[in-house]
Amino acid sequence: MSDLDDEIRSHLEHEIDDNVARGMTRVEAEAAAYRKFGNRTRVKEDVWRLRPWAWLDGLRQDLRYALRMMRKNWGFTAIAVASLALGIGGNTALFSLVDRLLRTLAVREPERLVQLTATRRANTRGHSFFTYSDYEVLRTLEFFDGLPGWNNREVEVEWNGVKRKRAVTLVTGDYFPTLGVQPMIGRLLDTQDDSPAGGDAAVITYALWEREFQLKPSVLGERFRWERGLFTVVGVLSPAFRGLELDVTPEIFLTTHSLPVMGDKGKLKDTGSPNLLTLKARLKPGVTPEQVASVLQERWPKMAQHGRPPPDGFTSKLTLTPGYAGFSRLQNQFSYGLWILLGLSGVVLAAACANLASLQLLRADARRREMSIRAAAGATTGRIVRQWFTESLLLSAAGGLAGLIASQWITSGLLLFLPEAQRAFYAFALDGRVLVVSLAATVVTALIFGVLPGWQAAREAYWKEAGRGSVGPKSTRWVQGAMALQLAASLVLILGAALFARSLGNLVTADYGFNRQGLVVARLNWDERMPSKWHFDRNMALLEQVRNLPQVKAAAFVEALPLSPHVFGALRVVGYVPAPGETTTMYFNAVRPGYFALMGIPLLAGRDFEDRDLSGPKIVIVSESLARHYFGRVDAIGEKITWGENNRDIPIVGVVGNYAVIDAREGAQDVLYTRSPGIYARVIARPRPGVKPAALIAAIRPLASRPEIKGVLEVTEYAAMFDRSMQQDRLLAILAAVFGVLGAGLALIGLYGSMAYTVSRRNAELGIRMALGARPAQIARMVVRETSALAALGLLLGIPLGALASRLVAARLFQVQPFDPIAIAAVALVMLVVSLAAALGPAWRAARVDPAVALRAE
Amino acid sequence: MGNNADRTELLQGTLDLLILRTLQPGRAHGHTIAAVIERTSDDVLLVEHGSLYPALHRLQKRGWVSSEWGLSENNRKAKFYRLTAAGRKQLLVETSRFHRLMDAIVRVLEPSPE
Repeated sequence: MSDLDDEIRSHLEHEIDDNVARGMTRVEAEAAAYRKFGNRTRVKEDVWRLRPWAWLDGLRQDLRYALRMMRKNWGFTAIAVASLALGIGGNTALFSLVDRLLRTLAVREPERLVQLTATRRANTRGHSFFTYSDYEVLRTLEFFDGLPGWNNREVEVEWNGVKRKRAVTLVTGDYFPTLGVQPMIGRLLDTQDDSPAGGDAAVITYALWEREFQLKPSVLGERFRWERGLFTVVGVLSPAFRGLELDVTPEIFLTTHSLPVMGDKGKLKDTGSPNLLTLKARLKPGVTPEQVASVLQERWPKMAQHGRPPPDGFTSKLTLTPGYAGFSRLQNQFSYGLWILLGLSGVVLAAACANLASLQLLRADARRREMSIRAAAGATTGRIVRQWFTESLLLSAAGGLAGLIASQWITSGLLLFLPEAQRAFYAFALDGRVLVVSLAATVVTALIFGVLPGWQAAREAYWKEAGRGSVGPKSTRWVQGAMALQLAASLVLILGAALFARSLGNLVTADYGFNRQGLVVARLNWDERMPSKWHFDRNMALLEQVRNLPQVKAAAFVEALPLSPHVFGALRVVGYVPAPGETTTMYFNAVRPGYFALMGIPLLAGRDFEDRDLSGPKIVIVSESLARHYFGRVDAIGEKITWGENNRDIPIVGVVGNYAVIDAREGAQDVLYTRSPGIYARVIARPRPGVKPAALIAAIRPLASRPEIKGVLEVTEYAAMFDRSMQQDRLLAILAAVFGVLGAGLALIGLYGSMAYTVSRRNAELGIRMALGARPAQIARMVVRETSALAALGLLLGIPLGALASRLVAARLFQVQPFDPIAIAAVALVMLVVSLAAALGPAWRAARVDPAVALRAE
Repeated sequence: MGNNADRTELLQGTLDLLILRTLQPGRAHGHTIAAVIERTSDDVLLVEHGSLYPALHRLQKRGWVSSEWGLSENNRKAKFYRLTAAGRKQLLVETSRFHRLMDAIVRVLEPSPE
């Protein structure tokens, strides 16, 4: 710096010398030299700006200025930060969940893994369960480099005298070698262990080692008991590997051959017991999934039959999907809801952006005078746009920071979607990817709502007179555009809230085909060491005792309650010829006499089971849907259905009404009832009129200690189960409602802000109107009219958008048309109320403009 | 400054060329450069002396000139600039570009009769 000063001083001295030599006086010479040199400060600034970090100075200036503006307009700042925090926070939270759900596995070359899914019956979704025999034939295929298969279960393990439920994963011998997972200590399981000779080897996870063995190496060689088998720990996994399923965190890994060791000899080889293994496969180098798929299309159907004729004429299909991500049974049901929420929070962010853009445009107008002065003082367009962008960036950075904090709360809210046991896994973890996403969201929003107003402000600064006159038509149009966009986004949010609320309402009030009022469910524990006769007697005793309670009106046995998992399968219907590719699949249930009457399921033809049927020949009852489906009429009494090894024909003795089997969305289903519920049966009871379910539960509980029962009794209200079946819908409705309120709030803020602003800018015009005889009521009406016009513009833009958006969520809606007239009407009404509420303040203020004051000020 | 009307503002970018050309014979300090440009153009070209310095610093930053402090002919301390090898090359490039530009302008202003 001083160097440049010296240089300039030297220059001036030389010039003065010259001037003196030309005959000037000392004073004249100095004056002439200074004049000729020009503005020294500017010269110094120009040189200064050549430094490499000069732009930092500008940035510091911009930042300081932006901070001052934010403090001055704290109301605007608060609104901006809050709405951005919600938008960015929501997006961050949902991204972290979706990311977690779709995350790549920590195994060797995950991109060469494929997930196998088999479809074995027509009209069913494919599933990822394979029998051990499937595994054995698939393993012989030449294009696989290994076939990791696994099966998760919760079993009671006795370790050092302590019995405890443990999450155990049974794996095939090529599971660890194929995945390329490394042990922390000891060794992992291999094909040697997955053979009759070595089924007793066990590997534990790092988490279990740390939690219960304090990372002591002496864990190797430890033994534990599972049923009749004694197992030995041979290794500990590295901490990164937690199994291939996202929703399950195993503690112990055993091989499939641990089953014979623990005493379950039959299950391993029994092809009749499906649902054993979930399979991934590693493709050999150079093999593409398409090649495999085309070969399998031909070979798999035969392989799946294991030498027996096809059960129902359907050709089994095997599909391969990319397997780099963890397998998740939740993924399908859960992620759809998540995507909807992610979309909604994206709309919130868009609405917040548009809201800020319109407010910023209005501020740009208010600061026209300031901009003109800056332009006059030499600021370039780029400099002014940069100033605006800096202000926007600062706002969205504050919003982003608040959003990161908010996202933790939002995540814990979202986790309520999940079963309790899995929440820990999905809990919010701030990792690099999530940070990058929220950072990107921050910058993009700043760009969207900052640059346009800045550009607008800069452009106007040059050719508009400084700071006088009413709002220009050009900037008004921009503001209107941004407002309409924001209102449209708000409308989509409000429409979403309306649709999901209607859907939930329909779910609650829908006819499920039975009367759920006051029902209480009681279930006895199951002890696998005891014979089924023992279970049967105990259950019968329980039913008897419950029936004898004075609070009980009726009680019965049932295997599968409505809206809960049912067994599903295919049976031959005598006399029915299936169409090509069709399978005669149906749900199975088992009930005892009195169940239908108790539930209020109507008997449409024939009779109910009776107690004497228990010892007689087999008979069945079917649902109305099944009767109509296969026999074309409700009265299907005497028709027959075939099952069992000896292919006996079983007659139908009754037809009953339909009920919602697993999910209300499924509609009427084919159900076959047999007469003898198994050991999992529950007692279902209805209280007498006037008796509360809680009172009935209190009366049933003590029965557990009776000598003929003596077990653990689980008694619950059926209502709890019913509520659980629509838990996701309820949460979706609640969150959509929150988003909807947010949307309405943003619309209100936006409309109010822009109208209040326009009124204040138009003081002079309003003054003239008043002076020319306009009455205050007319002025107020004018403001209301203009607000409504804006709202109408938003509706016009938003309704098609909303229709489009609701089409995307249609599958999640229950008995609601995507273009639901009631929902649309409700939304229009909300928008009307919002726009009136927003217009109220500005209209009142406009009506109170004093013409004398307004005109003098101008 | 009544004679300002007869003087011409420098064309955009030509100041760099003039400075480089002035330094071709040897080193000079800022005041000399300004005086030489004025004198050799018969006082036609108007150089606000101050504007010389950002230009000099820019040229130095690009490596076309180097500088050192020394004593001037008036026996005063002054910062002397000299062309670097890169600066000499740049002078050739700028000169030929300028000639091309001038030719083009002249052709436009005085089309040769065909």
